[in-house]
Amino acid sequence: MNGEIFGSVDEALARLPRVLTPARDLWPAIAQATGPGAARERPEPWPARWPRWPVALAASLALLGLVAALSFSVLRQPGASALLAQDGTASTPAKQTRVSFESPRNAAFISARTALEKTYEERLAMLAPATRARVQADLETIRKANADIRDALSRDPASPLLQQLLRSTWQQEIELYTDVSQATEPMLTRRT
Amino acid sequence: MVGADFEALYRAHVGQVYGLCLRLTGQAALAEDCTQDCFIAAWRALPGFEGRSQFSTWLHRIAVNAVLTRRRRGRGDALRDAGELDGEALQLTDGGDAADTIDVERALRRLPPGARDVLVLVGIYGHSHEESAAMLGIAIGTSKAQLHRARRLLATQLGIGLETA
Repeated sequence: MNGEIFGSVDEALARLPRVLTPARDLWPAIAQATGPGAARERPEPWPARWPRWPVALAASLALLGLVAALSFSVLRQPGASALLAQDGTASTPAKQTRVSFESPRNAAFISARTALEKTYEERLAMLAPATRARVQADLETIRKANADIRDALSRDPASPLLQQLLRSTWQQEIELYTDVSQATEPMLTRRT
Repeated sequence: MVGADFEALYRAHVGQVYGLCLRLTGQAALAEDCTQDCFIAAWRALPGFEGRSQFSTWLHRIAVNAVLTRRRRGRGDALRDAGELDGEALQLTDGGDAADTIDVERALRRLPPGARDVLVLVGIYGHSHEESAAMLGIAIGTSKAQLHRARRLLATQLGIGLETA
């Protein structure tokens, strides 16, 4: 019976969501353990290099974490081809509002990213409207987070955490392009 | 301000950390405890984070350590033996098909702990065998062997093949 639902162990595992929600809010107990009252129990004082990030960055990071749970998981479902436009025709994608996005200054990366972005833009129209809207919204979230992190880095350029978070936005952008490309591959195969 | 910043990090990562802990422990209450342990330990260790690994990988390593610590204390085994992973514990956030995935989650829970740990880390959360071995304190070869064993057992339990045809 499961063989009809999942073609393989790989498919069964791919369908499992990585993100699960605890039944209760765990933050209050964590806040209590990490709040000002607990600071005296810490072996070292909070380091001065800990960035004082703006609220906008905090909000971006929270949304960025959700991106992985939304369009990525949808596009990686084994049956993702079902999310393609029903008639198989390439409708015009909705116009995207671009947020300034800065990539690493590495020629190979720029070249690969440009190629992936081109494929993404060509195939975006093949997605079903709801999926396409979700993917576009997630891409905007990634780009907004990238801009906010770069802004925070301009004030705290030595922060390894911010540098790592910045790299993760590049990685998430590339993964999103790749997922769209892979999800639309079956449609191209059927056309040929 | 620092509290608000750390809360943002928590909100961004709690879903993955809790999911990882729930699959490693098989028990919602224990997974919640481990998740809290993880974020408190992460807050204490943040000054030492040097960006050599991805932040999520670093956080997962702390989460696995929290689970293993609870297991060593013995509470984990007692709770795991007493509880059954139910659908209520698996509140899906991305619209997944609950009935199908709960079958898989139950099959996962029936795996021997060593095999399940590696399958969760490598098969679900995408870590490498090197990362999995480091997190679990086992050899890389053991990680590979446990993954093979876990996939084979899971395939048998679900009545499906190992790989996509």
